[in-house]
Amino acid sequence: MHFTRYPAMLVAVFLASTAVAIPAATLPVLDQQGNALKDAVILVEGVPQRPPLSSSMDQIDLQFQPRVLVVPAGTDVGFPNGDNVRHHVYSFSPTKAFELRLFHGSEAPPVTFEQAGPVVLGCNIHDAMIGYILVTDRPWYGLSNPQGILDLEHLPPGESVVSWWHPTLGDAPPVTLGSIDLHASDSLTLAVDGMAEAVVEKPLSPLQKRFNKAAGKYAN
Amino acid sequence: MRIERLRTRLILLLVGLLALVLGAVFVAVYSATDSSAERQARQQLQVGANVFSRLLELRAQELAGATEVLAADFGFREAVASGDLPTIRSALLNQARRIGADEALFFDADGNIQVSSRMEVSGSQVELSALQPLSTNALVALIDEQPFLLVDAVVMAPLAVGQVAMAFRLTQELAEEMRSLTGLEVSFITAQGDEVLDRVGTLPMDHAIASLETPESSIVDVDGEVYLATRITLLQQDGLQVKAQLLSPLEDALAIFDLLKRELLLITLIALGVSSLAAYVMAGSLSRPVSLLAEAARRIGQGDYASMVTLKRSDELGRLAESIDTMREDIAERERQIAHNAFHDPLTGLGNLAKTRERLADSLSAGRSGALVAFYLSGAEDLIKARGQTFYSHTVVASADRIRARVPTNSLLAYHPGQGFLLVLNNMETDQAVITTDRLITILSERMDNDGMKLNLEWLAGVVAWPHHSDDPDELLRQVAIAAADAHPGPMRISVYQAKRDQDYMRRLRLIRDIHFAAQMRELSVVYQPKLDIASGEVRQVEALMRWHHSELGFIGPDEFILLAEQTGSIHKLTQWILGAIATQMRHWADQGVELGVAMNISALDLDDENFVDQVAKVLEKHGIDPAMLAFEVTESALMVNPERSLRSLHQLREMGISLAVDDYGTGYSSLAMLKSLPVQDLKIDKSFVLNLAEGSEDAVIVRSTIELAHNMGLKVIAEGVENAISLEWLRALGCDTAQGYYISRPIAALDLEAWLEKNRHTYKQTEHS
Repeated sequence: MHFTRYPAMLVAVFLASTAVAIPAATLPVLDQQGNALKDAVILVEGVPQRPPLSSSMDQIDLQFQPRVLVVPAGTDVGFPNGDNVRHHVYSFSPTKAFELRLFHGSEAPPVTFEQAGPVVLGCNIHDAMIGYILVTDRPWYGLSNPQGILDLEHLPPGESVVSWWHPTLGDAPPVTLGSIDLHASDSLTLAVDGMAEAVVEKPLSPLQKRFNKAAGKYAN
Repeated sequence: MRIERLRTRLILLLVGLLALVLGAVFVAVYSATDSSAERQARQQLQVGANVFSRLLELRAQELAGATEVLAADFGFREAVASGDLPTIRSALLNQARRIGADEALFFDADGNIQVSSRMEVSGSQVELSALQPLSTNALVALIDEQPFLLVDAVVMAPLAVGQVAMAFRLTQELAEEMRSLTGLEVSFITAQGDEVLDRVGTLPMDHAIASLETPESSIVDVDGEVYLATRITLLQQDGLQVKAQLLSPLEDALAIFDLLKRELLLITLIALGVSSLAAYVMAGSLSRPVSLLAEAARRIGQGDYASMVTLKRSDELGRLAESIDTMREDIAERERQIAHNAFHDPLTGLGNLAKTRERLADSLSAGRSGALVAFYLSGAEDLIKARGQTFYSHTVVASADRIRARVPTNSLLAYHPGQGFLLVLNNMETDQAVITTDRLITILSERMDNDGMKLNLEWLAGVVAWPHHSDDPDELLRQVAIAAADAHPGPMRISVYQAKRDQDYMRRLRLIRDIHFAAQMRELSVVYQPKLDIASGEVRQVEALMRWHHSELGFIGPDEFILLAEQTGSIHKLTQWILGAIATQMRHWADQGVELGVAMNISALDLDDENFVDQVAKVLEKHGIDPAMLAFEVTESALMVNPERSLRSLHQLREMGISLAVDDYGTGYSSLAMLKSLPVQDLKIDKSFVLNLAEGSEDAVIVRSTIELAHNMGLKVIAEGVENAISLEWLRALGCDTAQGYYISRPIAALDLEAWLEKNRHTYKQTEHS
């Protein structure tokens, strides 16, 4: 698999050197509105295991950093505290419920995520801090950067079963897209309302949503 | 009465104006306070409504905070995240109790009610029929058709995993609390359509219903209390509505102004009272003097000039009083003058006729006797004509001055213009009065030097005595005038009234009056006296004589009434009448074949009348009479009045063919020589010469010579007054042509004359034969 990819990379490098610097093996991820979608997790089955990415969930400026972390099942994730305040990181997600009191300067023991699935992180001190760790058992995984670009590094070409996850799914498991050759794709559009996530600071209460729906219905 | 009305009117006007002004002020202030009160109430209501909304919000916020606490509790979140319902339940109920919520609910992430406090207590389901956000923190909900304030909090773990809601009933306690904070009556009304499902509030509940349909802001009447109302819609969904009704009692706002109004009313009433009093006093000060002046004017009107009119004021009324007082004095003076003039003669200053009458009446009614003397200046008219009225007036005044101080005391000397002086002598008999009169006439008649002219005045006087002659003042005045008229210069310069003279005078006056109407009253008649032609013994002519038989006074002699007719000018009328009567008779005789001439007397005044000749001609022509058959007899003296005029008339008559005779010849001074120049054919010797004809008498000589002379002059002679055969024979012997007299015939009526002529056709012819 590795070998097969090199010529392609060479080609890509060649193309880049000869024409434009086209970044090899990247894919724009778009939301339903066609906007670049960040923090989208793409999972691919049936491919060789890729080298692990970072497995540290830091807290910087009262935010989880990164906001979304993808780790293979069984990974020990470290929770260093980059802030000089306390954090009380917790998760009630079925995938992994835990509680971790983090003090500045002190090293907490890493948390092992054995089970695949989404883990929503909160801080009991800072309600605004929300982080996500997607624990996956898929061999390849990737995360779209803030520009919505997914790096396809270590992903061999060819069709494979692709799934995706995004923080908007919350505790829901990743959604399977089907068999797709990501390298052959120009872009990947996910059924995510990226704008909604961006705009909604405080979500409507379920009660209000319910009666708004009712009102809308009567309005019709 | 009018003054009273003036005063009343003044008071009414002043008080009315004040009442108007004060009333306007009162109304203005009253309505201003009213509208101010309402505005205040409205403001209060608005403020109250804002406070209410804010309170509700704060309450919600507070409750929301408490609810948030629960939602944020790590243990609770853990329980929710782990679906630990018993823990959720217990925590929920615990918190609900802690914050006093009536209802606590837990919803799962899908919005389904998982836990409710009621379910825990009664096991029944909760029905949430309507829900609507009230503010950012709160909602209003209808739970089992009851209104609730609902606060919710989302349970984040860290994503939303459920929701907690705390519901608080909108209760009367809340309303009371709101009232205590806002000062407004608060009601919560829940309705479905028009049906009120639930209502709680600070007012008794049966009142709230009336307010449901009221507009946003209105005035409502609740049980007699007036409120300003507003409604705040808390929820409106699917025909369900929850409203907060806020009532601000107007009474309270108005009550603030009540004191002000009371004071204003008091001030208005006091001002009105004081003004009315002032108006009353003012009107009185105006109307009282007017009333006094009116009373003074009334007194003056009634003739009381004695009391002075004064008003101690320096204004117009004071001046009016002065004017009225001046008027009072002037009127008094003028009235004295008028009273004086009424009884005094302005020329001499003596009493006048009225004064005389009054004095006579006084004396008569007192039963006293006395005498009234009238002096008059003989020839006064001539004096006036000659010297003028002014000169005469001076004469009168000078005469008055002469005797003014000389009349007896207790007598009255008066002057009656046009008549003379009147003297009332009280308690004096006629003799004494005549003596006094004589003395005064002597004084009056003294030579007078008037305007450089020496005058010898002849004063005459009449005297009448009362009660001897009459007891009536007017009768006495009349009698004294008659007496004075009887006086003549000389020995008869004083004439005492005599009743007989008065009767003659009255009869004459009556005849003068009635003679105008004699013909009209058919009191006149004509009689005829035959004239005998002595030579032939035939009667060829008769003399027509007028007779007046007065209906009351009987037969009036021609001598009397002809003279009066001539004096009064009625003679023309009489002449015309007799001329017409004669002409008619002559026509009749001519038709009968009786050939008879008629002679009639005409007056000097007839000859003087320019129209007389024409009138005669017309009458003759009208009846177809031969002028030769008519003869006129004119007295000698008549021809002397206006000889030229008379002569012309006579000539004209003569030219017509009428015979003319001189009547009553011998009584005047005309000479036969003068008669010769007249166009007359006959001479009629006055009967006074004929009546006593006797041989050798003086009359006989006159008659004889007259006949002879007349004949010599070619005139025929008529003798009248033949009363016996001797006279007739004598006349015949003297050659007299015609005889007339009682011996032949009295003057008789026309029919009698016809019979007489028939009978005596031959009576006098026999004489010739014998």
